[in-house]
Amino acid sequence: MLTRAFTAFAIAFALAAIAPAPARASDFIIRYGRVPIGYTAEVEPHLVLGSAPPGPGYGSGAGLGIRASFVVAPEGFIRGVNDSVAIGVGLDYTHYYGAYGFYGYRDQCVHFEPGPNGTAVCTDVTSNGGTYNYVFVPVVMQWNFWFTDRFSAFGEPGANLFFLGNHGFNAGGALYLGARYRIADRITLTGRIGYPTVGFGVSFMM
Amino acid sequence: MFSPGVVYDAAPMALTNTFAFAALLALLGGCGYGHGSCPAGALCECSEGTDCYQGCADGDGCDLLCHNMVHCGGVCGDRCNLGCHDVNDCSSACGDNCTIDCHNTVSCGAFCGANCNYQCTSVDRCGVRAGPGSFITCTSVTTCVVDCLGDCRVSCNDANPCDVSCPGGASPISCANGLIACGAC
Repeated sequence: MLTRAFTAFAIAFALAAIAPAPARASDFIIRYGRVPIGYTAEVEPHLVLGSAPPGPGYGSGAGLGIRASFVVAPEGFIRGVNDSVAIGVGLDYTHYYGAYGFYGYRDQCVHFEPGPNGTAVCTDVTSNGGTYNYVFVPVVMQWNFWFTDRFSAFGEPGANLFFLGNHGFNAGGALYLGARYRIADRITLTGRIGYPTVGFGVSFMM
Repeated sequence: MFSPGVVYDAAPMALTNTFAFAALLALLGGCGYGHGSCPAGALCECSEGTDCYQGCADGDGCDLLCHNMVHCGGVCGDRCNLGCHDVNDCSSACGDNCTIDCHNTVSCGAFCGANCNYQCTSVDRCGVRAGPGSFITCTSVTTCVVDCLGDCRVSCNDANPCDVSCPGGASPISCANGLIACGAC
């Protein structure tokens, strides 16, 4: 059910980003093809939520993180459209509870020892699906679309390095869609949905 | 013009930053361990899917069964029944007075304590390390390796080779009833 709602929200969000609703001409800042907030870097502390993490973890969880995005192409990719491109790097810590998975859980072996005759014997297992502390390091290309003075949206394809205790570092794909709403000069509320986490925070444009 | 006022040595600084980052990851990242989720006295069965490893939440006295998957196993304290069949790799770790039944698998590895009753049937590789007073049976297996940590008796039927090792490097003895034993028959 939640997965369906998440998908519907993602589609609605993408449509909204691609085809913004009609607004007064003065609301649009497309006219000069310029980003309304002159900035070179964005720092965004945020809360993160996630489910079904990559790698051996299970369940759902929450945590804290920060994202820094550095503008590399203020004029963006498309001439006449008010877009810009930044490179984003983040650090997110998320604590997952195996028991809170959408599809239930199974305990996992957390320690194997070599047994006789080339066998491997599991000597320790998780309880209630276990708990998993992930550290994500997303590296993404942030493609921004500045729709109005207050509202902007972005897509973030990229990669996600993640660290999970004894399992070490692994890497996977990352894809986010996000939006900002300016609440003060150079400060926006910023939301982001995608995989492996969704997030909500405050951006400071510098 | 370059003025060598303050000179930063990049290499040690990068090393320090790397170390600090690694320390942060080690502090934050990790998995929570436990003893499993099966209550004592209940039969906890796991089937289908790929992996399943069960443990006994109460420590002792669990019945853990898994079958028809790729990897599975059980971890339990004393007085447990562990079973698995029709899997690739079966693993069992148990304390004293346990019964382990493993059949129709590729491998079946086990650690068990004293007075263990281990049966391995129709398996490619059986391997068990068992405590004193244990009784091991390997039937219709390609290889069976038994490490006895005390006196034990081993029955090998249609198992070639059947390797039994005894404590202190002592040689196992062949008993009249076809058993192999560490200690007395």
